[in-house]
Amino acid sequence: MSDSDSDVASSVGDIIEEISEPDTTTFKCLFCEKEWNRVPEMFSHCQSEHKFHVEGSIKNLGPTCDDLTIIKLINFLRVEAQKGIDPATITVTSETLADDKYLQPTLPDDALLFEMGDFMPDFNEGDKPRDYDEYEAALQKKVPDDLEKITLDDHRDTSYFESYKGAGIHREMIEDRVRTEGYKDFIEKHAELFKGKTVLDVGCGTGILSLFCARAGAKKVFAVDNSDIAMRAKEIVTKNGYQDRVEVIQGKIEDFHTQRLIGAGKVDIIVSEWMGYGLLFEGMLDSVLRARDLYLKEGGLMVPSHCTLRVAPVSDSDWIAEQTGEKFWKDVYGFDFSPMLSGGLLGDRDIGVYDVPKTAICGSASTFYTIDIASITVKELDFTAPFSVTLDRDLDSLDAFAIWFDTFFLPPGSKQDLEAGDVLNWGKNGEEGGAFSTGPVGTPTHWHQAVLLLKKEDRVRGLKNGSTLKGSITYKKERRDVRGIVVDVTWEGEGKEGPVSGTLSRTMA
Amino acid sequence: MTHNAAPAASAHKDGDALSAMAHSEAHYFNSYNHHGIHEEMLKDEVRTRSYRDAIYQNGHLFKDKVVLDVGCGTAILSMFAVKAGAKHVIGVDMSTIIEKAKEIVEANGMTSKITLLQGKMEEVELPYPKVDIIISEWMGYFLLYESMMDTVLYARDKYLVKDGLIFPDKATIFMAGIEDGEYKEEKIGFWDNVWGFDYTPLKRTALTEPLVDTVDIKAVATDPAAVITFDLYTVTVADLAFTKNYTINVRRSDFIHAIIAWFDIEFSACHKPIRFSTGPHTKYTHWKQTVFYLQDVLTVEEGETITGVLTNKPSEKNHRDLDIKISYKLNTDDMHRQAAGEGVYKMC
Repeated sequence: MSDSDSDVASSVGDIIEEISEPDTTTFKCLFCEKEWNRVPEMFSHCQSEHKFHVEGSIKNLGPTCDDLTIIKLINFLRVEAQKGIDPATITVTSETLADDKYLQPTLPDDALLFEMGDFMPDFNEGDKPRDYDEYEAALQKKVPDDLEKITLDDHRDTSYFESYKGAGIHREMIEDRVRTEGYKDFIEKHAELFKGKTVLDVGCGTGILSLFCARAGAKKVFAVDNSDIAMRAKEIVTKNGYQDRVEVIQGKIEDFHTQRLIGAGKVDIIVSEWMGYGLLFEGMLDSVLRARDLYLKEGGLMVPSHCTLRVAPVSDSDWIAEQTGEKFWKDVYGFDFSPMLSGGLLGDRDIGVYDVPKTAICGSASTFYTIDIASITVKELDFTAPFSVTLDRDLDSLDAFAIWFDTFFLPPGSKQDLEAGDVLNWGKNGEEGGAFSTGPVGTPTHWHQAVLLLKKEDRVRGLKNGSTLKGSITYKKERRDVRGIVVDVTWEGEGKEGPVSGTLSRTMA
Repeated sequence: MTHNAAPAASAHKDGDALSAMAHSEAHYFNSYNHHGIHEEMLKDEVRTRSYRDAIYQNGHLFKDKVVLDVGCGTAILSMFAVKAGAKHVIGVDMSTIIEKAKEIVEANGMTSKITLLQGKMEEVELPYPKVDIIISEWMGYFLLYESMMDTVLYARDKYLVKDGLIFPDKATIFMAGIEDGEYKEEKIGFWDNVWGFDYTPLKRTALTEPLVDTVDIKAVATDPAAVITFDLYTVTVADLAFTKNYTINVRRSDFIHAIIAWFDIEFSACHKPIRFSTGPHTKYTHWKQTVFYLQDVLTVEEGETITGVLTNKPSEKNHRDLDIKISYKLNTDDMHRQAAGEGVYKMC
């Protein structure tokens, strides 16, 4: 059996990664298919569209109305809605809700059941909202034995399946040794930085980074992820006996709910693995920066602390032809398929993601942007920066630019010059902290490199060995999709017959 | 598809289950826009050659006929049909790949013979009220995962003339048992110790994920067992959810770590029937085989049987996902080796 858990199944299905920090929790209306991001908005919709006054109905239930009553209310209303009963005619009484069958979720993964705080008539500040386990524990207590079995097992299994797209992908992430060991080595070698400290893990996924921090002595780790993988992370944390120190929170980083669980005290350290293809694809750094501004103490530590973006020229027409499918499409079972050439995986529109062979890199790599994660702003993630590379051979043709990033973990107050160290052997010559590279030299990572192909007619021939290729690179968010990025490159160089120049614009969406 | 050919998709995918559900449909169609997928399918020689042979060798069936190519992709099958003498071919595909298909058809001078329509089969308007032949490459992993069989059946019921032909018209799912200790350990055992942490909660999750992979024939310790055959002329969409008994005969004494499944395809309308297999005993296809790891390891002896039930149904949440159950029982007189269980899987 060949090792390929990354076969087409995953490419057709997606490259799924559940440790991201999506901002898409929605609450389905109690009566129709509409979805809302905020519960109060849904309430007013229920009142205006369905003539059902949710808050009023809760008030009418009187002072004995507690969280469980509200859960039953939600499930009851959803059952009635499924029966097609006109909401305006529904009257809710304590008697209606006496039946414990309404503790059973009517909808699988009903986000509303986790936002009971918004329903409570008199919200008590000191009272933390319940999380899933507390909800479950409460159910266990109150529900008759036979019913309990049905309810919880069913729900759990659904959840398993929801999060289950994940196992293969999380494995891929964890197995990316360069990545995981980069974090692990820094945390373990600098355990003194973590000892007794409070840490926030943004987009915790399966919780591996939180566990590293806890094992290194962190007093408290808040592990936040909006995906269902958070439930699995919670189990893993408990299984490893860290449940007292690692608190897994399922939610968005800026959620009221998340804010209350983390509390007013700020954290000493934020750890996060937020990097995407080309570093900024998917825009997860935005969330990390929001988390920093919301939760990090003045002078607190970001892990990692810096990223640098690097660019290098690529010249290897055989490799390019293979990636673009040039050879293949010319003759397919006797037919001419050349229209497939434009807009292919590696074409003149999209940014490709590949492991570029070392030998195809035809010059020095230039660092064109440095991100200090402790101080950069979201605005500064759209930028234009100069680059300059020196060619190390006479080029048959300049085919593409490869862009990648290096990640650095510097201890607080470090004056380490990032450019002065060797990112592939960080620490060997006394560099401070830790680092890893996602470049073409060294162990491949799941980030590969971003490849920006020149149009065929732009692939300049005759650039000279030792000459300089310089220009600028612009990163900006895609207008239609904030998770996407557009990268523009302008360049000029010395050709055999005088100066040559070009521009290109490529998208990752 | 290998990593370095991965489409420029996300390293960080929005993992929210609710939103993922909402977008999955759109994603399914868009994922086919990437040329890499088409390249991989066309490069699958077993697949493409079988279709080509089935069509070219039966010019007498295609001559002057109106042909419908369901899910035509790059229109390779449509062009085969034109070459075989079809009067006209209609290619339908949801994906924007149809724009490329139009260019390709033009590059090959067949524009007047092929009409390409982008849209859902249920929504497009065909230039002919009825068609004589339906051709389609609709098969997915495990035959039915992300398969377009339902679309083919819709087209059959709405457009195919009485006694019209379907290429291909028969699909059979097979199962067998394999010895796969090393990979099972690597795939599943991985979660026992992750950098010193106990990650077993993900182990159960991993066990529910069928693996699409190429299986070495040497690992197969049983005879293949045909479990279900779909006759495209008579099958209905409801038949895609099924429960079937199976009996697998053990061929040699070994351990069984997993049940694998694959399918065979037949073009029985051909003068000389053409079939191809996606099993471990024959040439590679991009469908590979599907591996279902068992919770237990069965210790089997030659001549014994493994019996059980294979259940498949499209997931209620996303009908392109499959909920699969495999119950199994080792029939042996040896008390110590008796084993039975049930695996629950989801392809998504």
